This record gives sequence, structure tokens and C-alpha cells, in this order.
Amino acid sequence: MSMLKIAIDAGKCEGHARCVARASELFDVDDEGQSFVLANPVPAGQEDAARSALEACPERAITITEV
Amino acid sequence: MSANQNPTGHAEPEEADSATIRALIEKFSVHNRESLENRDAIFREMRESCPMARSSAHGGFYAVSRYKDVYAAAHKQDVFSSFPVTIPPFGNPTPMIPIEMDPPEHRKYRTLVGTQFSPNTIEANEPQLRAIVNTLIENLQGRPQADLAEEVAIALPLRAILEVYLGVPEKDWAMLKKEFLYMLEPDPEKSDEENNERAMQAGLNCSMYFAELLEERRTNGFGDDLISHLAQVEIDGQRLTDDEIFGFCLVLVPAGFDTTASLLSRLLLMFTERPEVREQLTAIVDDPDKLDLAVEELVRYIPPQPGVARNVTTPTTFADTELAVGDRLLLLWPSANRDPEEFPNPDELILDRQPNRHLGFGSGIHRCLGSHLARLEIKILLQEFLHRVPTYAVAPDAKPLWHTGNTWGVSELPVVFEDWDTVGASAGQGE
Ligand code: HEM
Ligand code: SF4
Repeated sequence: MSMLKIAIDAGKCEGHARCVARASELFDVDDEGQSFVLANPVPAGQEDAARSALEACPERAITITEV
Repeated sequence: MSANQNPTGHAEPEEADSATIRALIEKFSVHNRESLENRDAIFREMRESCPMARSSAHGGFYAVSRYKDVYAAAHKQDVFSSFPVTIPPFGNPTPMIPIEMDPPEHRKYRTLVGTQFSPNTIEANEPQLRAIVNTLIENLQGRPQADLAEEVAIALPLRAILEVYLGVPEKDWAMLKKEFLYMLEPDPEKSDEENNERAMQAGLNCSMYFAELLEERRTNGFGDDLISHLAQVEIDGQRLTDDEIFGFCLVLVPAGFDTTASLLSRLLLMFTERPEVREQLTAIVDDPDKLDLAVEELVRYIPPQPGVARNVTTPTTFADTELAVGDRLLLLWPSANRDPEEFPNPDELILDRQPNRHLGFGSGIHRCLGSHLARLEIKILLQEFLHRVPTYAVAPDAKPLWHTGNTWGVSELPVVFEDWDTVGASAGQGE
């Protein structure tokens, strides 16, 4: 079965934290406003949350690839 | 524009014809009442036929209206400066912190308050914010009528920033609000010069007020408020100057209350014009996941800040337009948020809209510092208000008063409530 891997482009991320709001198991933001991934590859059952985060990111900083 | 919409709260005649709209575009200004009243038609015409529209207002500027251009301009801090960030400028000699600063200084100042406005800190302030909302609602309970702009939409964010963040005593809230409104919502009937003079005086008064507050904290000991924090932080080993501390406060207060207030007042007015919106929100308000999406959609749909300025610092070509040093752009967030290229059915309020990469909180390095606070204020208000306040109508002998300025919102919303007995027991049932 294929798995999803999340990447965040730190140069694009501006800390909107929409990713955290949509998938708090997968993302967090630090006080500088940089987001980071909490779980990679995406644990089973969290795939929809991961996609929802991607669709919410206003800076288009998140990519998800199948591995 | 969808025909069922009545954005100004007045009975609206049929839409102005395109020659009229063209003429309005040529003198577009955030301070112009006709721009506000015809905004949907103006923005649509701009996006379709003049994405870099030229307005002659306030010495002339380009109005940027398409999503992709607004987004791109917000990320070009190398050639577009944020100082000054309004058209016309406030006239301050040095950039306001952090909103008018450019790299590399911008980041240094912004990180000073990153923790104070991070999602985690905001979450920790939840009980205090909810207590404020509860006081506001208790103050309405049982009354036949109220001004929901003054008593709810403005009061909540004003108290959030003054009380929760700055520790300003209650007796001074009304005075500060009045002074800040002189700066934010200049009287469209007055000349730029007159308004500037009044705004400068108001800015001075507020600076003096914060100077006293700072002095008082230095004497009596620092607390955990933002002014105390700013008085103790350092950039490259240097304390902030007093002017920088006041400058920070001078931005945080208006940015913190006027924006949120305008969004909330427009939403509370919309409940009278489109009761189904209130019903739809009531149906999902207890589901945190759905509420999260709904709040984003509200910010997309009624972004209170009509536009901010960027100033060309290097000759460049942008959106097929040659720009010279000194040229000014106005980034129209509300227009970007209704661009059909980015949002299917942009004029529809779709509470579970996804994707929703709206620009209501801006984009790029100046992304709204207070966005997490604003989101939480809106959420808590909806959670308490929708269950506990009965439906209402605009008072028959009155009408809502809209304001122009650096935010577009409703400053007076006199309403009469239906029966208070209908809420409480039947909470959540809708109408
Ligand atoms: C619904 C409410 C709000 C909306 C729609 C909103 C919108 C915006 C927008 C569009 C910007 C970008 C300006 C630019 O690019 O030049 C911005 C910046 C900013 N906002 Fe908000 N805002 C809201 C609430 C707040 C609150 C509650 C606070 C603070 C308590 C706040 C503080 C700021 C500050 C300090 C900046 C400047 C950030 C910087 O330059 O790095 N805002 N806001
Ligand atoms: S939503 Fe996008 S920009 Fe915002 S914190 Fe997450 S990755 Fe960064």
C-alpha cells in the first residue's frame, strides 16, 4: 500500500497555521510562525486530514507525495 | 453580484450600469462611500477588464484586483515597500511597526511578539475571551433593543486587545476607541488635510496615553501585559526606544479591534438580511471542525480591510504594467477573495468551502499577526451568541450606519429583539 509523505517549503510558510487547524496530529507551528510536520509518513487514517491541510494552506507551502 | 444580496443595508436599486461603474473605478478610494456601496460591481469590472485599474484619488494609484496579482504583489517585498501602507498615508515620518516595515527589519520586530500571538498563547487566553463575550451577552439579555455594532461587534475586539493584551483600565477604553477611530475612519465629508490633522492629533494623544502607561509600569513593576513585554525585549542587544514601544501599541490597538469589529458588525447585520445564514451557522456551531471552515469562509466573504498599499522602490513590470519608482498599488483583498479564477461560485457563502486559500488576513511576510486571535474571537462569539440571543430585526425607525476607511464595516446597528423567552431552553434548534 502506498504512503503519503508531507513536505513544507519553509521559504513559503508564513505561519497561517491553517494546516494545524485542519490536521493537528500532523502539523504544528513554532513561535516564529514556521510550521513543521509531526508525523511522516502520514499515519493510516490521517490521509484526508493531510489533504485538507494542503487545501487550506494560503501560501501553497505544503506538498504531499505518494511514496 | 447575486441579486439577493443587499450589502449596504439600504434598499438597493438595480445595479449601476457599466459606464457608471467605470467612472467609479476612476475615482476609487477606500474612503469613498460610492466605492463601498458599489464594491461588488466595481471589483468585478476591475477583475474582468482592468486588473491594474488606475484611480486618480489621493494623487493616483493602481488598484490590484485579481487573486493571482494581489497574491504576487504581497510577496514582492524586494520591489514593493509597505511604507506607507495606506492611501492617503497617515503622514507618520517613520514606518509603523511592524506593518510598514520592510525586510530585514520587519522580521526582527515581528518575532518580538510572535509568542504573544501564536496559536498556543491565543488558546490559553480562551477563558478570558469567553468571559468577555459572556459579559456582553448578559448585558443584552431581556432588553427590547440594542446597538449590536457598539455593544458587541466593537466591544469584543476592543476589550480583547485593551484588556487582555495591554492591561488598559476600563475607564480609558471609550476614550481610546474614539481617538483611534479618528485615525482609522476619516470623515469622507472632510478634506484629506483636515482629516490628517485630526488623525495626527489623535495619534499624539494615544502616544501620550501609552507613555503614561509605560511610565506607570516602570515605576510600579512590569506585569505580563504586552507593554511590559515590549519594554524588556531587545533587538541585537538593544532595548526598544520608547517611541518604538508606543508605535507598536499604536498599530496593535486599531489593527486588533477595527478589523474584527467590521467583520462582526457586517455579519450581525447579515443575520437580519439573510436569516438563512444564521440558521446555517447555528446548525454547525457546535462542531469545531465545521466551525473552523465556516470562520475561514466568513473572512473570505466579508474581509473587513478593503485594501493596503505597496510602494514601488525599483522600476519593474508587474501584471503587464510598467511601474516606476514611487508608483503606488492598492491590494484589494475583498476583490481577490471573489475572483472566480480561484474560488468556484465566489459570490456564494459556502460554509464548508474547501479549498479556501483566501487573502482576508493578507499573505506573505505581513500575514495578519492577530489572525489566530481574530479567529478565536469570532468562534467564541458565534458559539455563545447563536444559542443565547434571539433573532432580531433592524429597528423600524433606524438604519444601520456603514463607515468607509481603512476598514469597511457597520458602526451603528440598532436592532429590536424577538422574544428572549425563545432562547435558552430551545438552544440550537434554530428558528
Ligand atoms: C478579522 C480580523 C482581521 C483581519 C481581517 C485582519 C486583516 C489583516 C491583513 C489583511 C493584514 C495584512 C496587511 C498588509 O499586508 O500590509 C493584517 C496585518 C496585521 N494585523 Fe490583522 N486583521 C484582523 C485582526 C487583527 C487582530 C485581532 C490583530 C491584533 C491584535 C491584528 C494585527 C495585525 C498586525 C500587527 C498586522 C501587521 C503584521 C505585519 O506587518 O507583519 N489583526 N491584518
Ligand atoms: S498553513 Fe501553510 S503557511 Fe500556514 S503554517 Fe501551515 S504550512 Fe505554513
